[in-house]
Formats: sequence, C-alpha cells, structure tokens
Amino acid sequence: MTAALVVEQLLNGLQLGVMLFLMAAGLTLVFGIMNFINLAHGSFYMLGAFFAASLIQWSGSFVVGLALSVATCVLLALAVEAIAIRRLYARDHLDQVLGTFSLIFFFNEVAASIWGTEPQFIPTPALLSGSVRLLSGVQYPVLRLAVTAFGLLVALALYLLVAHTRLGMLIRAGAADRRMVQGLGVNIGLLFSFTFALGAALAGFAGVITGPLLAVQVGIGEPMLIVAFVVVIIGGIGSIRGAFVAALLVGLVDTMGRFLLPAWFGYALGPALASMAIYILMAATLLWRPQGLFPAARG
Amino acid sequence: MPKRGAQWLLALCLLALLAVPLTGEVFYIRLVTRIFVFAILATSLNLLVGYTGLVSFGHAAFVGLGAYSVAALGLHGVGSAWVVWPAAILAAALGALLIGALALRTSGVYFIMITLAFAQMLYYVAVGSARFGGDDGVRLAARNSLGVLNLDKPVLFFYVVAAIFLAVLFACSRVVRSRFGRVLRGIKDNERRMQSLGFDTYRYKLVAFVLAGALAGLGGALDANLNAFASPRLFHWELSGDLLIMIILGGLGSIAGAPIGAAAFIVLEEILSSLTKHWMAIFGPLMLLVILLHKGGIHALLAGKHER
Amino acid sequence: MRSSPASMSARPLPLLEVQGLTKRFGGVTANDAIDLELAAGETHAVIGPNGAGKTTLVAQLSGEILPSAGRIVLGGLDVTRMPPYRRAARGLARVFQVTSIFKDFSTLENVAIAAQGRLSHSYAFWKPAEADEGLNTLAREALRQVGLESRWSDPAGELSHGEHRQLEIAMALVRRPRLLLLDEPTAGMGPEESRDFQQLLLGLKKSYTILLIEHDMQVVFAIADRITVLAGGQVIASGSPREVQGNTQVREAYLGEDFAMGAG
Repeated sequence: MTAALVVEQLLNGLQLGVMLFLMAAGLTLVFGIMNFINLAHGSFYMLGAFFAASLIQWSGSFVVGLALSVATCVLLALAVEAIAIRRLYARDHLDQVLGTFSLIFFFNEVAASIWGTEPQFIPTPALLSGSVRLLSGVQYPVLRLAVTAFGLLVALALYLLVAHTRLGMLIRAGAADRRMVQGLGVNIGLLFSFTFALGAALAGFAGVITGPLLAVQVGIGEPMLIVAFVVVIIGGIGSIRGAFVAALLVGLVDTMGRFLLPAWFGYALGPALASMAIYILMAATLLWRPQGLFPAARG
Repeated sequence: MPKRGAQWLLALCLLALLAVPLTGEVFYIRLVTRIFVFAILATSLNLLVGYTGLVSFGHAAFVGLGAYSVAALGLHGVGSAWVVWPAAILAAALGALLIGALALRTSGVYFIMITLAFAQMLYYVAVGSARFGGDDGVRLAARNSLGVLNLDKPVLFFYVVAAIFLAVLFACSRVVRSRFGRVLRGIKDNERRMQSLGFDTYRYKLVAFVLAGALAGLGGALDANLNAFASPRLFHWELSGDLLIMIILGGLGSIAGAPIGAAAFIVLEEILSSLTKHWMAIFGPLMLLVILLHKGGIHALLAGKHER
Repeated sequence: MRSSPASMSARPLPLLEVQGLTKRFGGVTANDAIDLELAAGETHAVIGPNGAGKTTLVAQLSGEILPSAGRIVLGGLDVTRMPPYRRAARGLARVFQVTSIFKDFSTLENVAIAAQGRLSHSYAFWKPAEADEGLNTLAREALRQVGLESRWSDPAGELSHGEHRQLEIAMALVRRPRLLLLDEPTAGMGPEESRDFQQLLLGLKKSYTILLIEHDMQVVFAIADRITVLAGGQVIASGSPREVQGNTQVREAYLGEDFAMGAG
C-alpha cells in the first residue's frame, strides 16, 4: 500500500465518478422533468460505444468518430422517443419501467445482430496513449486523465446550460414544478424530446470515451445503469447538483472500496464487501435522508 | 370474479397441464414444471404489485436467496427437503425483512429503484463469490429428497411442485380476501386514508413484503431443484422484470392472473426462441405492445372486464 | 390525567388543547402561535379568509406535518409528534376536504374498513373479511345514520359528490371517535345540499365533539358553540358566535368577502 497506489486509485475513483455523473445526469433530468423512469438509458451508453467502434474505424479519427457517435445517439433517441417513449408519459411508473425494460431486450439483440457477441475494441488515440508522471512515483495513464478531463468539461457545459441559459431555466423549473411549466404555455413536447435526447447524448458520450478503457460488448450498459440509479437515489431525484456530488461519492467509494476492503478484510470477505459498498452507502443515506442529499422540490 | 365460462376454461387448462406427465415426454414435463415454479414466483410478486400497489423491481433477490440456500446446504451435505426448503423460505424472508425495512421508507420511483439496487447488490455478491462458483453458479449433485420420495424422477417432482403451486394459490386467495388482505388492498387504493383510519401502513406493507419474499424463496428453492443448478442469474433484475411482465400479461389484481401470465410468458418464450435465434428482438417490442395495451391482461380478456 | 386541587371544582380537562402551535415554511409562517381549546361535547368552528392558515392547522392536527413549535394534546396525551395512524387510534377521526374514499371498494366495505381500523390489529390471514358480520353490522348502522344505506353495494367511486361526503361521515362515525375533525365539509355543495348537511351536523352535535373548519357561515352559526377566527396565520378572535359576530377585527379581516352575519 503505497501513497502512489492510493493516489492512483483516487484518480480512478474520480474518473468513475465523472462517468457516473454523465449517466446519472440524464436519468435524473428525465425523471425530474418528465416524471419518467427510463431503464433503457443504459442502452444508449452501450450503443454510443458500439457506434464509436464502427465510426472511428470508418473515419480514422477519434474525434470525428466521437462526434458522429453522439449525433447518432441523439437521432436514435429522438426516434425512440417519438415512437415508443412518448406513449408512456401518461402511464404509471410500473408501465414505464416495464416498457423501457422491454426496449433493453430489443437493443441488446439488435446490437448482437449487427456487431456480434465478441467484444469490440476502440483503439486509444495516439495523442492520449502512454502515461504521465504526476507526482514523484505516480505514473498515471494519459487516457484516463483525458477521460476525466473530458467528462468534467461536459459536466461544466451542462452546468452552464442549466444555470445560465433560458433553456436551462426551463429545465430547472420543469424539474421543480412540471405542471407549472406546462401551464406557462411552454411547448412541453419539444422540451421533453430535447431532455430525452440530451440524456441519451450524455450517456452515449460516456460510452464512447470509456470505450478505449473497457471492452465494448452487448450488455455493458446495464451495470452502469444500476450504479447510476444508486447515484440518483443518493443525490436526490431531479437534482443535477445532487447527481454530481453523489456520483463523485459513489465513484470514490466503489473504487476505494475495491482497493481497500480486500486489503483490510482478506480475500474471502473483502471482495464481497466491496461489491456491497455503494449499496451500503445508499442504505445509510436513505436512513438519514429518504429523499436523497439534494432533493429537488417536487411539482 | 371471472365469468363462469372463464372459470371453466381455466379449470380445464389446469387439468390439461396436470395431465401432461401422462404423455411421458420429459421435455414437456419439465416445461410445465417450470411453468408451475414461475407461477409460484409470479403469484408471490402479485401480492405486492397487484394487491398492495408496491412495484418491487428486486423480487429476484428472494428467488436467488432461496436457490442459493439449497446450494449452500447441498455443499454441506444437507439434502432433505424437509430441512432445506424451510431454510430457503427463512433465508428469503430474512432478506425481505432487511431490504423491506429500508426500502419501504420510500415510495414511488425511489422504491422501484431501491429494490432494484438491493437485488443487484446480491447479484454482484453471488457473482463475486468463488465459494459458489461465481458467474458459473453451483451445480447440485441431486435434487433434494422428500422423505422416501426421490425427486430426481421427473414425474414425481412434477406432482410435488404442482401440489405446492396449488397450495400456494389457495393460500394466497385466502390471504387477499382476509382482513389482512383487505388492509393491503386499502393501502393500494388510498394509503393516506388508511393511515387516517388508524392503520400502521408501513408495518402492514413490511409484512406483505416478507410474505411475498418468503414465497419467492420457496419458488427459488424449487427452481434450483428443477435445474439442479443455482445461478447468479436468479438474482438478476432481468428475472425481476420478467416476473413483472408475467403479472401484467396475466392481469393484475386477480389471483389467477399471475399463473396465467407465467404460463403465457414461458410458452411464448419457448415458441419464439425455437423460431429464431434473435427472438429477443421480437419479444421486446411484443412486450412493449402488451404494456401499452394491457387493459387488465389475459385474465380481463377472459372475464370480459375492461380495466384502465 | 392531571388534576390539581385548585381545579377540582373547575371545568373538566379539555378534550383537545392546542398550545402555541406554529408552522414555518422557509420564510413563511403559516401558523403563528395558535391556541385552541375544545371541551368534550363541544362543537367548535374555525373560520377565516383564504390563506389564513386553516389548511396548515388541519394538517398539523391530523399529523401529516410536524409543527415548528407548540403542542397538541388530545385527551390529556401529548400527540404533537405522533403520526396520523396513532392519532386515529387515540380517537381522532378526520373527514377530508377533498373526497378521500376507497373508490374500488363498495360503499359498505368502505365503512367496514373504517370499522376494522378500530380492531387492535388486522393480522388475520384466513377468514374472508367480507363475511365478518361484526364489522358489517357496524358499517350498516353507520350508513343508516347518514342516510346512505340503500347504496351499500354500489362501488364507492360511483357515488355522487354529496354522497361521498355522507360516506366520509359514516366512515368517521363508525369509529366512535372522541373528536370529529371536519375539514370544509360543505365545500362544493349547492345550497340545498348544504341545508341537508346542516341537519346532519345538528344531529351529530348531540353525541360527538366536533372541530369544524368551515367557510359557509350559515352552517357555522347554526351549529357552533364557539368560534375561533384565523387571519394571517394567527388567532384574531375566539368566543361565542355572538362575540365573534360583534368583533370589529373579524369584520375587517373579512372585508371584501361575503361575510354573511348568519341568523345564528
């Protein structure tokens, strides 16, 4: 257990946290504004990664591939919203949950048909390969730093959008009091479509930039989705600030847990505890604050 | 109450299913045994969803606990159903008590997500446990023995499971009409009102949650026996989702609905998967259609009622 | 039950005592140090213009929100921090302003459920509840009291608005409550329905302690023994109907509203 190792794990935790934020932000926005629970959110993460695997190869450029992948995710999201999601807005949560759950089957199977079941790989862009020396004795992969930085940039952009634009104001108002916003004559249909597409774009983006780090395979979206749910619960549904704080917390707890718990509790008990760490965190938060850390006012 | 005609039809179907062992086809005997197991699981979840209004997306947690109890005891040489099955029920009930006590402090979407999260937590623990074969799960040397009865014989096991299913169905039908069941239905209809009438709704919901979890544990133990195998997939939220779809398919809020839905789901799955490798791509949208149109499920269709 | 020598000859302990009840929401003080007292058998009305804090008061009394300060004592027991179901068990019966019944159950079963709430517990898993003649008899009696017995088998969701109000009262009565909390019961009623309802209340007045939150001054002056007036979250007057009628502060609070000084 060296200081260097701890720093490395902390940075990993930060990176995971930022990725979780991108996933959770979309979920919490869609829930806050549309009162809609979307289990197929993880599918956009997966599809983003798959699109990137193909488009980067086709275009030869990581950046172009990234941009095209996110754009494709947005288009797909708009289509899915118009065809299926829209019909579930008025339904109760059970129907929404099951409806989007059914979509997961569909997306997973289509992805398997197109790309097969073998894992795909997104090559690390040359510029981001190798590692860099941060402090004495700490070598850290450039790619991971880039992923974290990229994620934070997008988070910043999201913050600017939500806090400093009129559209963002509508989003915040919608999260706080949906009916009021509808009553103000805002084109709710457009706002909903936009929000849904924004969520998908964030998820797809997260999928693309983590692509070089992990294998791209059918079903990678679902584990991310579950943890994103944990983040949303801890942070408070409808709150972006809550999602950010909770995401970093969860990312750190998960990473540090997997690193420290086996060391403290041995390899029989350690890994099991590490798997449970973030859920124990969630349980503890619920005991203290059943509505999450920063619950948005509900409309 | 279903129309008389519908009741006769259902009774006939049940008799037909019970007669399947007479064909001697092991494939079909196993299939119908599987239907009965899932009918038990779906019925247990229906107590929560259809009667108490609690949408639990983590019911698989208790199925898994039941199955892994069988595996754990099997690894220690304990194979008598008289010991193992009650142990499975107890383990699942305990899990339901712990998870329910926390999850029921929330409601609505929070509740759905929390039950999902806790079940998934158990999934990851199961996958990570080398003792239980991790991702591969645990093979059982043999099915549990029920006294002198050797349950490795398909026909014998079939009738044991069928008998348990009928007992569970009957018991649940009594429970939902009892004073306790009335409280649950009242909570589903108007929880705030129930509280103002003096009912401690949290406690009643918790009891329902534990009861449903216990039954799911029994179903899980039977599933482990059926396949002689306990897999982490039994904890997975995909199973939770499948159970919910079965209930919607069959019809919420009627005791017969869950078994009907389970049967329909499994048969549909069998048919579609034999047609094409990519059957999921059809199954998904098909389920979505069912959800968009469900109007009380198959049961309502039979009974000529229209909900929604 | 506390009693001091000095109060032996004084009036008995009030059934409901509200002391300094205050509720703040952020910067807004919805209820400001409200004091209220109800003797057993009394019919007490709480009136006030819109926004006076009546809704918040009812929510605090029923236990749906917790006070920022103050106490609520019911039958000598401090219930300030008790959740709704425990206050109900202590004898508080609330009739909701917006109809809150069990729409998927029959009218009779609605009242039977209310009666069931009085049992020490409902952890009975075997016998059909519908066949419980004890509960059914109590339910039928309560329906008869409010004049709804002919509709006993109809789904409660199909009743008219006025019938819903009657059902709500039946559900409250079957529990033999110590305190009936009526939350704007005549809201949404036409003049004739209000008249009928007034008759019903006059009948109830004889056997029950009633705390009535109301807008309809006709009803208030017809049945209230004492009236408390809220305005701006505070009690601005409290006393007999005559005293309140003559109070200039009260008239001012209602300036611009149709404050019909009822026949009393």
